[in-house]
Amino acid sequence: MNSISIRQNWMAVLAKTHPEVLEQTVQALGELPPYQFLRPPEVGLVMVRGRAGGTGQQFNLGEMTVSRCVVQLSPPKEDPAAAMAVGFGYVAGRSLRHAELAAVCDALLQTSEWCDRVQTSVIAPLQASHEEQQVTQQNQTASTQVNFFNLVRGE
Amino acid sequence: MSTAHFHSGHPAQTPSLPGFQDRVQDAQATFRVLLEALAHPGSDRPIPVHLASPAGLNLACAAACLTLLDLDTPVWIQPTLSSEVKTWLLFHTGCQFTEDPQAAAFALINDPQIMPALNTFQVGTAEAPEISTTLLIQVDNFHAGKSVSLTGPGIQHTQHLTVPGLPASFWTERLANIDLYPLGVDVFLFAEDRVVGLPRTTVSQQSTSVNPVNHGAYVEPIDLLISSGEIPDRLTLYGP
Repeated sequence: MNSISIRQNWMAVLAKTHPEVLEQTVQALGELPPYQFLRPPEVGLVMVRGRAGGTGQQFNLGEMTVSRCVVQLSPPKEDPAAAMAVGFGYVAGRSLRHAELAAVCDALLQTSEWCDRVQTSVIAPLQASHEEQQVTQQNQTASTQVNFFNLVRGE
Repeated sequence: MSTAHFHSGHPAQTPSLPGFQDRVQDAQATFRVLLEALAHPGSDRPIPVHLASPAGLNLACAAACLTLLDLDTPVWIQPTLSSEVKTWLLFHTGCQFTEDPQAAAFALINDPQIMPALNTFQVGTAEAPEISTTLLIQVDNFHAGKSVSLTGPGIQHTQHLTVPGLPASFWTERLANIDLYPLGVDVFLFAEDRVVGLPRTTVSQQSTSVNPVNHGAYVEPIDLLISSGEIPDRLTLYGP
């Protein structure tokens, strides 16, 4: 995995987690460093496009609500001009807090001091529970599978 | 999964400064002031927002950019402006940048001494005079330099304006611009937190010795008759 796909992975985990679950997980991290908004949380629409069968002509499937936010960690008092990590949060739905938390985690994951802590106590457990849910759902779906047979009458 | 450490600096595409504190209220307040500036050409008025503008943009110009620019506005930027300004505008407004002054809806100028001539920008067409370029020019202040007297719609008698740093050619080109009416470029001047509007209809005179009537500007025939004394004034003309 290169650095882009690793970041894509944690951004996806943060975006797919339920806002309340993310809030609790982030609170368990303790006191977070101060940050400022480069783009305060806001709600907007994005057009979701699709292709019939994955290969056909592109068409507009519909619009979906997306919240987004960009934060920047505040520089330390000793070095106010220091370049600080910038975190982006794009999440489905209208939860502004969700977008903010996702952006803050994204920023923290880019710093050497916080990266391991956030990876182990936020991203890893959330990803594990996603995968568990997915397996459960697949099993539930699989148990309802019906096989159809065409019986050819011997005439 | 291995842990990744990204470079601690922010990528070049991300600015280090936020935009408006309250996007809706601040943009509306700024837009109102810009409208008033065009309605009362030559008078400077403050833009009532707090904003940390990037180096190279003064507060008034930064607020105007955040208010006027969006995804659909091609912007021409004077090459003297820093890439920090470009990054900041791109992040907060999503505007498109263009190299071609003719294609620009807005032109951002921070060194008017070396700005291109007004007629290099888009003046609009007879079918669509509104597609002309609006010039956003940054100046130092509005209380030094040669006095310019302004007349035209929105000015009852004469408005005096002092702007340092604008080349003499700017004022002569503005006179040529007036001849194009209803086409022509509109100009906003920004200094610190203040803005002055110079719409395409405003007639500007650098020295008071020149007769404003002879400059190709459109003058209501009735005003000519009034000034020549053939008609005493409008009140008696339209009176009961």
